[in-house]
Parts: sequence; structure tokens; C-alpha cells
Amino acid sequence: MKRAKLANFLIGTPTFVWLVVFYALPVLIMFLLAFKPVDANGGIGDGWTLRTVMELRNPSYPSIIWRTAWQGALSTALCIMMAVPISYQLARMAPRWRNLSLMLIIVPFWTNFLIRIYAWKVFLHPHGAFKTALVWLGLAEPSTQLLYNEWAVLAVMVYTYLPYAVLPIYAVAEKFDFSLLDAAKDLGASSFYAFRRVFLPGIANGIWTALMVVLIPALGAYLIPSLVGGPTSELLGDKIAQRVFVDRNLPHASALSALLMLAVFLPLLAGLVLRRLREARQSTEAERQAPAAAKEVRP
Amino acid sequence: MSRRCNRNSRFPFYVLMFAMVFLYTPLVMVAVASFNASKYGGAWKEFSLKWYVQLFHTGAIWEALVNTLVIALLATVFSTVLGTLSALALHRSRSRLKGIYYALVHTPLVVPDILLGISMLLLFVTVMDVCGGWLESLFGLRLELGMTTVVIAHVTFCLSYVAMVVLGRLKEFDNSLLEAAQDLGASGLYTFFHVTLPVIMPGIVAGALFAFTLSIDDFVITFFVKGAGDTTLPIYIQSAMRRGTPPVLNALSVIFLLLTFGLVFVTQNLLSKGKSE
Amino acid sequence: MDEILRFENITKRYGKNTVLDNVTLSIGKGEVFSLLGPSGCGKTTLLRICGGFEPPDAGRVILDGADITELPANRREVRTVFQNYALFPHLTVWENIAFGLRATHQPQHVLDTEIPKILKLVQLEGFESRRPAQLSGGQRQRVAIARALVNKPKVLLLDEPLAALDLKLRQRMLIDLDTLHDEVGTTFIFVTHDQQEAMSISDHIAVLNGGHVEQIGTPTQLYEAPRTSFVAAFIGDTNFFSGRIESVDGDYCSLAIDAFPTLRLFNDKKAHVGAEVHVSIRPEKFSIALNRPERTDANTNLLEGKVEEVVYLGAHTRYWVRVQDWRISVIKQHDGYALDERAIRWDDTVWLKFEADNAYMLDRYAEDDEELLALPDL
Repeated sequence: MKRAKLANFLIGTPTFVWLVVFYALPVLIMFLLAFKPVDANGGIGDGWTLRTVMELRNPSYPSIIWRTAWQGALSTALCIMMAVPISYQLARMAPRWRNLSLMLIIVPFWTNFLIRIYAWKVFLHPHGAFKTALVWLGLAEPSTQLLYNEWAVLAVMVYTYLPYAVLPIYAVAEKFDFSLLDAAKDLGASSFYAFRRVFLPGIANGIWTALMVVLIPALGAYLIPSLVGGPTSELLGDKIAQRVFVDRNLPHASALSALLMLAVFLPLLAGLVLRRLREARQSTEAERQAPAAAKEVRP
Repeated sequence: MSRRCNRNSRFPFYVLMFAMVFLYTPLVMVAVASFNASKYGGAWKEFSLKWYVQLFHTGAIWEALVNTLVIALLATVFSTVLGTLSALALHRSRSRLKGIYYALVHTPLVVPDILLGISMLLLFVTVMDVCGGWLESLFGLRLELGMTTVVIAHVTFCLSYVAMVVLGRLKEFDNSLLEAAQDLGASGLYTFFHVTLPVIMPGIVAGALFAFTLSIDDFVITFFVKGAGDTTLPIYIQSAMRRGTPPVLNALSVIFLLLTFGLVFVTQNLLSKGKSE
Repeated sequence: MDEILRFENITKRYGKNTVLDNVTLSIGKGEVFSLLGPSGCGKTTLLRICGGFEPPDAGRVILDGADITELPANRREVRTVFQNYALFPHLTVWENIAFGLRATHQPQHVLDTEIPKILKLVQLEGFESRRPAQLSGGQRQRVAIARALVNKPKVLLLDEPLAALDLKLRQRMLIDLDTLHDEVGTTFIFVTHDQQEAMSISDHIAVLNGGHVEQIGTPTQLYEAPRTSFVAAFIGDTNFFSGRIESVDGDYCSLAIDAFPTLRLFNDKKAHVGAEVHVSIRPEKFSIALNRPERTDANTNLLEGKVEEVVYLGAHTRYWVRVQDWRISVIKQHDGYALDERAIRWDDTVWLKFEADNAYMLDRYAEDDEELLALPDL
């Protein structure tokens, strides 16, 4: 027993050390640097200061934070609203068509991220076929700018994260027992009622996962707004990059990053605690019922 | 499976079709444009392969590709070893520290890329600031941002993916196999190499493939920790894109897409074959 | 019979829960010994202690005269057939069987001679290069047995080996196991919750309940002479009667029962007048008839009652007959052509007859054990 414990310790240590040095320590430094002054040539000054944190109250930030939040929330909502019916359809299709459709959804997911963004730049290009068609149909003025605004950012975000939302929801929907929907209809429920009250609760876990895997990267989006967004559609991610690469103000970048970190982790932590509490309550209830149930069992 | 399509709503089907159009229209337009002699997709000029020819003559792309592959290979090897070890340790641990260890391995997956990138940049900058001087004077080591820091960063974010994939495989692992091996007279090490490792190998391979793809795909983290002159393929594409939509990228995109299609097709077939066996 | 394995005062606790309470068992060389009991009785824990997967909190395990309590599983000459078979999914049938020989560094020629032999024994020739996923449930089980037997263990432990199979296959495998045992002669320890499986294959059975041994005996001993109400109710079905001895004459006695006719019984426990006695009478010991039958002698019991429930099962029929305040379970074998007889139906008045010798007095009776009986809710 002792030997097994020692072996396990040795197996686990290298990765533990690696992650402490290259993940935990950097995050800690990020929080600490937010309280450091900047020196004249872009380095980190001596002593401690609250000035950087105070600068976050600069009037330009609230609007950027607000835009980051609603863009993230809207793109997440759109992804999930599409992913739920898609997963439902995939789960009910004949296996042959299901595998094909699934593959078609996965391929963009595996395609290089930059190439996907590039495709949108071509698609929305001022001289591109889409724009020409819109103008020809009278839906757009020749002067309409499709690229470099927040709607372009939103479209590319949904495009990028849609497969992220489909995969976890489909994974749960695939295991859903569809005879439950027939049972609901048999009891007089309409299709929509059955969908809402039976299917959606059945795939709730998948939706929660999808919510996390889409919302979190969306909040930290940097590449998409920097490539297809304009100066009026900057997000928090752009600002962080600007502070690093343009102004070379690392303490300021740290403060913004720490803010984003908290924005991501606090809701996550709250969700985790809520789930733990719910599970704990359920397990105590189950224990209370267990003795009664045990009496029922007969060999 | 019961299918009563005529009575079920067609709405989900339309959404799926819309998603397919949404996902593929931009890609198809890029593919078409790659064969268009005109510089812009708006008007068809004539069929041409000149962008492909130009692509093969752009030396910078090949240089970036070699960098990308070297980084991806190194990152895959290290992250697969570290990730697998941590998954094994996590799976077998009954310790109270397990929760902390798990959080350490799992949370990098939910931290946005940009935060991983900047935090590692800050680490490297701080280390150079604090002990760069005496490291250089003592060991002649010069710390600077470059390929090494990029590989370190890639190993860090890839190893969590490997660990999670292998851990998933270990959770399905039937522990009675270990008892069976012991029952048949096998020692602990013999059991590990002849039972545990072969059984979880598909998970390790999947994790390694995942790490390789993620490393090739990464732009954000690389951008933060790379040295001034280093380019990888994503870095090259990004800098080319900032100047507009150079048609060489159309050709590059099509080649990438074909490779991805081929890869997904092969792995899907391998997976379904593995399942039916 | 020589002893091969002995459990001495084995106790095992999980937290506050005592799973095994001072269990002592002796198992003879070459026999099929069953550990029988409901789920949670501790039978699997006892098997795992024997296999070396769990240490006991107290007590010793003696294998062939040597104390193996402290020996790790991979150094015991004991092999297990696991409930889910635990076949290595990445290895072929041949490699699975070779695993134990290779792990213990046997030379190649041993593998080449022993494995074909064992494959022939379990009738799996031609399946050498298949993987477990390509085998049926019965074939997998035979691989698991072959894998365990090829190492020539002193004892083979089988943990519910038939539980994963369907009914028909279970009956076939039971016969195959019996044949296999006759051929190899290894001691088999068979864990099961199914009393029919245990009865049909075992030389001896230990009935476990709540972590202690209720009774050890041959299948016939357990069925005909159960010492406790648990054994009587768990193995087969029975009727319990409780009463006070009214009179004793020679080997026989009269038992007075509340709201029931007085019964004549063989006094096997030599109980005195006034003693409280619990009796088990198996359903097939009663004969049932529409007309009043003749008494064989003074020790024949005749009871008049009314049929409350009839369950026809082909080979036999079960009746529940009310006699005053008691409900009696009766089984009638159809040894004649059943369609020619006037069937006994619900609400018929019938006569039950049984001989005083066919009842058995219990050492211990617990009212809870009545729960184990197959009684219809009326």
C-alpha cells in the first residue's frame, strides 16, 4: 500500500511542478503586476501602487466591458438556439445521414481557426460576390460596409463557436430516450410542449456544458474582433493586446486580464458551489429513502 | 429507432440545413476564389492555378510551416507524456490533494487563450527581469522570448487536453482487469505495461492527435510568447490578413481544408472500425 | 476428505458495517463448494479475501496447510473467474489464456503444450485469435475459466459466473461446469445468490446471511433439514408453523397451534411438553385431494381447507389453501394426464394430507424470514 502511494506521488509530481511553474505562478504574477507601476521604457517599476487599478474607471472601459458582455452573451445564445434543434435532428436521423452530417459539422471545427476567419473576410469583402449580390438585390447600398463592425464580429463568433455548442448537446441528445416524447404526446402534450417540458430538461446537462465552452472563449475573444471588427467594436481582449503590444504597459494589461479572469471564474465558481449544494441535498434525501427501499428488496 | 417524420416538426431539419449553408458558404467561396484569376471574388475572370503556383513560391510560408510542425511535434511529445502521467496519478489517487491537482489540470481548459498567453508572457518577462542577469553571468544562459518559450507555452495548454482525454479513457477502464492480472500472478509493473497501457493506448493516441492539432492551430498564445522574428503558419496568415485578403491565402485555405477533410474522414473511419470490433 | 482451504474466524468491517462476522469454513479437496446467500450477505467479500483482493480485519486463511492471509494476490495458488469475466479486451483468446503463464515467466514450451490442452477442455479450439468482443457470453465465460485453470491453481474461485448469462445458457453452462469439474478435479468455490444453481452443482453449500454462516451441508441436508427459518425459506419454499407441545408419546408428539388443528409430528428435537416449537413443512410434502383420503396410521395429519389461489405451472400446480386462520402453500405434481382429471379450482373445499415424519423442527426462527416466502397478497 505504501509503495503504491509513493509510486503515484512520483508519477504525479512532474506535471504538478510543470503546472505550478507555468500556469499557477503566471496567473499569480498577473494579479500581482496589476499593483505595480510601469517604468519609462515599458518595463515594470519598483514599489506598489493602486493607480493602475484606479485607471480601470477610465470612461472608455465600461462601454468596452459592456460590449464584451453582450457580444459574448448574444453569440452564446445564438449558438445554443441553433445547436439544440440541430442536435435533436442529428439524434433522430438514420445513422448513415447522421454520421455524414456530424462529419460536416466537425470539419470546420478542426479547420485552422485563422482560415475560418479568413474565409469570412473573403465572404464579406467589399468587392466580394456576397456584397455584389446584396447590392444587385437592392438589400444593400454600394457604400454599405459589411466588414469591420460589431455584426461581422458576431457572425464570425457564432460561426466559430457553433460546433463547440453542437458537440456537447448532441452527445447528450444521442442518449436521450425519444420514446419519452411519444409518451408525452400520448398523454396529450403538443409537439412543442413535449419538446419544452421533456426534451429540454433531458438535455439540460449538455446545454450547460455548451454554455460554458462557448461563453468563456467568447468573453476572451481577441483575434476575431481584431481582424473583422472595427475601431468601434473593440472588446476587452483587444484592449489587453493593445496594452501589451502597442503601449507596452504590462501592469495595465495585467489589471485588465485579472478583471477578465475574475469575470470568467466567479460565475464558474458560483455554479460549481450551487451544483455541489444541490447534489449534497439530493444525496441526503436519497439516504433518508434508502432504508425504506432496502426493505422492499427480496431475493 | 422510431421515425415518424411526417408527424414531427420539420423545423429542426431546416435549422440543420441552414447551419450547413452557414458553415460552408464562406468556405466554398474561398475555394472558388482560389481558382479565379481575378484578385477579388466579385467577378469571375477565368480559371487559373496561378495562386497555387504563387503559394509554392512563397518561401516565408514554407519557413513558417516548418516552424509550426517542429513546435507541434515537440509540444505533442512533452504534453502527451506529462498529460498521461497526470491522468494516471489523478485516476489512482485517493489523496485529499487530489481536488487541487485536478483543478490545476482542468482549469487551463476554461481559461480564455488570451489569459494563458499573457500570464505566460508575464512570467517570462518577470523571470528575465529578476534573475536574467545572474543566470547569464553564472551559466551563460540567455533568457529571451523565442521558440523555446513557444514550446513551453504549447506544452502547458496541450497537456490538460491530453490529461482529460486519457482520464476519460481511464474512467471507462474496468478495474477488475487489474485484479484479474494480479490474480493470474502478474506483478504491478507487468500489469501496467501489459494491461493498463495497452488498454488506454487509444486514449493516449487520441490525446496526442488532439494536442498536435491544437498546437498547429494556436495563434493567440504563440503571439504573446514568441520572439520578435519567429513566425508560425497562423502568425504568417494573421500578418498577411492585416493587409487585406491576399489571394495566396485562398490557395492555402483550400489545401488546409482538403487536409482537414481527409484527416477527419480517416479518423472517423478508424474510430467506427475500433467500435465495431 | 482432505481439507484444502480453511477460513478461520474471518471478520471484515467496512466502517461501522460488519460484512463478515467470525466466519469459519472448511473446504475439502476436489469438491464443489458453494457460498450461497442474498446480496449483501458477505459471500463476495469472503471470496475476495480468499483471492487476496481484500485483507480480513481478523482471522486467517489456510490454503493446503499454509497460512496465506498476508500473501498478495499474485503469489497465491488461487485463481478467480470474475463476475464480468474481466477478459483483457486488447488480447486475443490465446493471449488471454497465456497471460498468467507469461506473467509468471513460464517457458514457451509450457505455453505451447498447456494452452491447446485447456482450449480443448473448454471446447474453444479455433477461437485462439478472436478478441473478447467477438465472442458470445458463454464463450467469454469459458475463456475466463480456461485462463484461470491453465495455471493449475489449487482452488478455483467462481464469482457469480452465470449471472451475466440468460436462463437457457445458464442451465447449459451449469452442466458444462459440472463436466469440467469432473475432468480437472480442481476444488471449485462457487459464489451465487441462486439457490437452484448452488443445489445442482455443489457437494457442499454454506448458506450465508448478514455476514455469518447459517448452515453448512449437502444440498439434500439443507433442503430436508434446515436448521433455521432463513435456510428453510431461502432454499426452496416452505410453510412455517409455531405452536406448543401438548403431549409426547415415543418419537412423536402433538403440536397445539392457535386457530389451527393440532398436528402430529416427529419429535426430532426431543422437545418436552410445553416447549415452544417452530416447524417447517415443504409444500410438496402435502398431498391435496377433493375427497377425504384414508389415514395411513395414527401419525397421518388430515386437514380440511378452502382453495384461495391456484397457479398452474405445467409440471406442477401451486395452491394456497386456507385452513382455519392459516394459509398453506401446497405443490401437486401432475404425474397423470392433467386434462383427464377434475381440476381443483378456486374456492373448492379440499383435503390436505401429510405424514408426521415429513415435517422438520427448526433450531432458530425469525419472523422476518417469512418475507422470503412466495406468498400471494390476498
